[in-house]
Amino acid sequence: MPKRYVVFKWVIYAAATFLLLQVQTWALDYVELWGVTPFLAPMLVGVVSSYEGSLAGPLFALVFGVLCDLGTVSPASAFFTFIFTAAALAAALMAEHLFSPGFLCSLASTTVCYVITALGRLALLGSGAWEAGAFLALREFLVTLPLLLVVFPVYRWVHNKTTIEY
Amino acid sequence: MKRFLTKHGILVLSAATAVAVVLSLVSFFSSNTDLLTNIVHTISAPFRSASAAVSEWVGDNMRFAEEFDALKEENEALKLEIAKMEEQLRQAEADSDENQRLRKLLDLREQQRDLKMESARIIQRDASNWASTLTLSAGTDFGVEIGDCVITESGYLVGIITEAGSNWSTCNTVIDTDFSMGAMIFRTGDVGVAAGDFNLMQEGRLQLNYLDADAAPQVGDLVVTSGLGGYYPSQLVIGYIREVMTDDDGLAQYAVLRPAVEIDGLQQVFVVKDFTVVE
Repeated sequence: MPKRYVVFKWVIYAAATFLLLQVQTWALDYVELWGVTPFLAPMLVGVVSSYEGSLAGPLFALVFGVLCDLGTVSPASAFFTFIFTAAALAAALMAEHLFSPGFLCSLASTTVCYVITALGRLALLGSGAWEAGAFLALREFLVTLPLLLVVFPVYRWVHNKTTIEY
Repeated sequence: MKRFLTKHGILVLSAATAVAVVLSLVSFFSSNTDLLTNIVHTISAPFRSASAAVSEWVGDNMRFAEEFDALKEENEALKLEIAKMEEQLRQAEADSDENQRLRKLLDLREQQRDLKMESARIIQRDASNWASTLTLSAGTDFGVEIGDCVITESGYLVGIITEAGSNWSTCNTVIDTDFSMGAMIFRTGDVGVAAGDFNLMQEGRLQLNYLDADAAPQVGDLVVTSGLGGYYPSQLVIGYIREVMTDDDGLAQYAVLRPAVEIDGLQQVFVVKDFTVVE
C-alpha cells in the first residue's frame, strides 16, 4: 500500500478516535450507571485491533496507551502503554485466527481487552480488594458494552473507506 | 501462534516495554510532574475547561426546574439555621475575647491561622472508576505545588495535589486509595491516619486508622486534620465518623468516615499554597 494511503488511513483513525474520546469527555464522564462511569478506552483498542491485525492494531494501542498515560491519571507509570499493547496483541491474535472481521469479532476483541485491562488493575490492587475490584471491572464492562453499537460502526466506516485491496 | 509471536508479538511487546521504561525513567527522575505529561495536559487544559463549562451550564439548567421547590424549602430551613448560628456567633465572640484575655495573662503566643490560597475550577473528574481525582485549572504558574491541600470555601478538605503542571494540577480526593493524612477526632483529641480504601471508595467513604485501643470515637464525631509534623495545616474538616470497628487482632480501632465535602457537586475549590498556624 502506498505510503500516502497509510498516512491518510491513520489520520482518519486518529480523527475517529479523537471524536469518540470527545463523547467520553463531554457526555460519558457525567453518566453513572450501576455505580460506574462507562470507560471507552479498552473498547477502542479492541475494535481497532480486530480490524487492523497483529501489527498495526498493537502499534495503534501502543501510541494510544502512551497518550492515555500522559493525559489521564494512570494507576502506575506506563500502565496503559503496556496493558493496551498486550490487550491489542491478544485481541488481534484471536481476531486473525478465530473470527472473520465483523461485529462478533469486535465484541470478542473488546471483551479480551477489558479482561486484560481488569487483570492489570487487579494486579496493582492489594489482595484484600480483589473481590471488589473484580466486581467493579465487571460492572464497568457491562455498562460500557452497549456503546459498542456506536464505536463499531464508526471504525467499520473508517476501515471500509481507507482500506484498499492490493 | 508461534509464528504470530515471532513475527509481530515480540517486536511490538519489545517496543511497548521500551516506551514503558522511558516513561517510567522520565517520571522517576522528574522532581515535579514530568515534561511529557505537562505538555499533554497543558495543551488539553483549555479543551477540558470548555467541556467543564458547557457541562456545568447544561447541568445547572437541567437541575434548575426540578430543584426549584426543594431550594425554596432549603432556603426556609437555612434562614432558621442562620438565626441559630448568629446566636452561637455572639457567644463565640464573647468566648474569643475571654480567650485572648487569658492568653495575655498566661503570656501565651497569640493564636494565628493564616492560609494563603489560590482559587481553582474543576476542569475534569477522573472517569476511570478506579481512582477519585480531580483536574484543577490552577498550576505551577499560580504557585501550586505537589503536596498542597485542596479545600472548599467552608474549609472542608477535598484532597491533596499529586501532580502540577503550568496551568493545571491533579488532586487526589480524600476517598482516593492513595490519600493518607494525619487526622484527629475533634471531640476527644485522639489521633490517627485518615486514608482512602478501595472497598470504601466505591461508597464515597474513607477510613480513620491506627486509633489507640483506649480511644473513644463515637458515631457522628467530627474528624479534622491533625497538622502534626507541620506538613499540612491543622483543623481542616475531613469528615464525620459513620462506624467504629475493631481490628482483627483486637488491639486497635478504626472508623469509617463520611467526607464532609460532597465531591460530586464541587465546581470550585481553593489550593492552600502556604500556611501559618499557631495553636
